Amino acid sequence: MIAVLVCEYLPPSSAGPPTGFQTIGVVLLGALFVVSLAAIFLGRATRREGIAWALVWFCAAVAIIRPELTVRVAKALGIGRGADLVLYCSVVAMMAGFMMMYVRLRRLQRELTLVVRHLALRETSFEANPETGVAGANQRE
Amino acid sequence: MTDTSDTTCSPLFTPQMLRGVFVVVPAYNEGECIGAVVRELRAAYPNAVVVDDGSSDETFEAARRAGALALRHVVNRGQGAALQTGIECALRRGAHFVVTFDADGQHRIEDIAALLEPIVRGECDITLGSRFLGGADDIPWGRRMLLKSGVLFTRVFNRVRVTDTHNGLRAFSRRAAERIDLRLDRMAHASELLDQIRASGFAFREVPVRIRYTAYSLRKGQSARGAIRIVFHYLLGRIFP
Repeated sequence: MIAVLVCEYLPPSSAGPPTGFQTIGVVLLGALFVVSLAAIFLGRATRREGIAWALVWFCAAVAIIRPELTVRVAKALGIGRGADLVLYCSVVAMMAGFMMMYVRLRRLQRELTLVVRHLALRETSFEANPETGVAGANQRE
Repeated sequence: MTDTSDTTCSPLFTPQMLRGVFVVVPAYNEGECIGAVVRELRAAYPNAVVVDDGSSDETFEAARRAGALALRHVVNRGQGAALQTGIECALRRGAHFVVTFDADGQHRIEDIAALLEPIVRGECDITLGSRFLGGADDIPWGRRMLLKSGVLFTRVFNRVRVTDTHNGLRAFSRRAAERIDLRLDRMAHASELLDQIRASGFAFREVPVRIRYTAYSLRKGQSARGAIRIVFHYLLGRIFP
């Protein structure tokens, strides 16, 4: 929806009427854009997350409507084609995403271990060992 | 190698002192032999703490029947995690000395006394068992190569000079055990432990021990592929603490 509005504001593409891919892409990205912003108000995402995602969708929509813009940026960076620029950017973003997931997973595993350890230590504190007589239910941990 | 089996009778090892020794045994699917290991241990050291690391067999029950203080991880968290749980349990129960011991029967009970002796005498706070210091004549060739590369890795990455880095038999004084905080849950804890020993500044010493290589303990041991995975976990653990 908003992406469609963006189309109006941008000067018309030299390539003529929008292709089928452009139409579908812009509609989907527009929907994602709206969902991302709505998530902020529904409390499903923090303001920063929502705006970051909305920006990603917005940039993607612009790149679809006006591919020659990516070419210009690519040329400025010394990359031959706009498509290559998009590819490189998405690879970097994915790597960063994987790393963040990994760090999060590590933290989760660490927390799980702490919970499992807590349970293990707690369980033994309630029962006396029949032979050693070490620790009973009333022994404080 | 000297026979250390009668050290337990020396005046250092009074019954009172022995009650302060907690032997921590991490065990994962060791139902077959954990009972025998615990019974053998308890003949000399009354406090055996077995941490069943989420086994699917009867490890927990077998350890408890044999008279160990058995703890259970509800899900498998790895040997490093199990060791840390056992050490914490021992400390909470007032351990003066903490010994770690493998569940597969590869260690000899007699060696524990040799490990404890320097600590009891106050000469150091940590002793590490080394199979290469003693009569290392019966170590299978493949094991020897794998372990030696582990030692080399340790020299480079941990900057600790030891002859056997991956030996499960170790002893700690209480204050040393209190400083141990293993966060690498799986097998990379051996390297992590050396890092912490170095960082703690406590004096450590290597003590010759013998490993009983049986078909069972070799089957439960690490393969070369496992070793690569461990190195990977360790390095990742250094990058993302």
